[in-house]
Amino acid sequence: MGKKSQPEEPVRLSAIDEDILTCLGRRELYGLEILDELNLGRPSELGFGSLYPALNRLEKKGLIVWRWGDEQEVTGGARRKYYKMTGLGAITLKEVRDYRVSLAARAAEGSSILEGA
Amino acid sequence: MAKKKNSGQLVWLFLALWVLHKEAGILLDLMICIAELVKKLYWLMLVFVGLMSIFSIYLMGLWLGFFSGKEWISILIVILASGLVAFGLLYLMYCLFSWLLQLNQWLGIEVPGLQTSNKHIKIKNLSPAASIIYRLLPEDRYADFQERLHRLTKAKKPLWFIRFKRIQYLLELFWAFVQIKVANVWLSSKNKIEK
Repeated sequence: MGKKSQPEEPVRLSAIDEDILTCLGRRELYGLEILDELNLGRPSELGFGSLYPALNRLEKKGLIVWRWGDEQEVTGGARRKYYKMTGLGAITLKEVRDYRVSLAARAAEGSSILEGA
Repeated sequence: MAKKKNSGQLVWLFLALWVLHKEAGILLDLMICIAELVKKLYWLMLVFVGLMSIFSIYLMGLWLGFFSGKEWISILIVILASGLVAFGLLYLMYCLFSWLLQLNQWLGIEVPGLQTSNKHIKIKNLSPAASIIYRLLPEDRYADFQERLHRLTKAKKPLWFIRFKRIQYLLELFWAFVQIKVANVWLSSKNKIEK
């Protein structure tokens, strides 16, 4: 009677999605803070045009959540949105990082074989 | 006979008033939806009216050039008239836009897309240019935009540079808005197909 459990579709992350999740870590940051963190030492600077679509994407995937902050004087009385990573976000990020580590290990193995030959 | 007719009309009037009273909420919702639509189409209409007025000036100038001896007077009149008409139309649209937003504020009804905080109260304390930007952007993006400009002012950057950056940030925000809308439409269509 019950629905057949379908295999869960893996959550895809783009490079900027991954960067944002890494920035958030266990912290709660607002839009501009995330942008500052991302642009620190980045060869090509990111702007609002890349940040907000990525945040929207992550939110839709359930990887981040947000809450309204208080009204600030520097923002002209407007409220900031504070973003936080969810459990799913942390798991997805860990999976991507593990994959990168394994990829690097395989690449290193391959290069050592080539050097040996 | 006339008495019977009058009482019939009264019953109908009473019924109409009752239905209106019952449906007032729906009517107000509809009006607010129209307000939201007008808000979204405002800039589009602005561009459209501008283009149309330029086009009409061009066409009428050509026409008068063919059929009259004193083209320059005619063209001047046409330009002035078209300019006035365009200005009038824009002003009318602005009034309608402001009135509908005011209506939304008085009724205190939250509409998806319109910001939910005491945003309209804040608008009163802003300059006209800032209030337009404030109305068009979501609150969090406006906050980030303002803070970025505030940083530039604090760093004592020249005015022309700040103005240039303001335009750059607005363009970036517009580009972000377009991307988000496209992504959301794509996501919703994808969900519908999956259902």
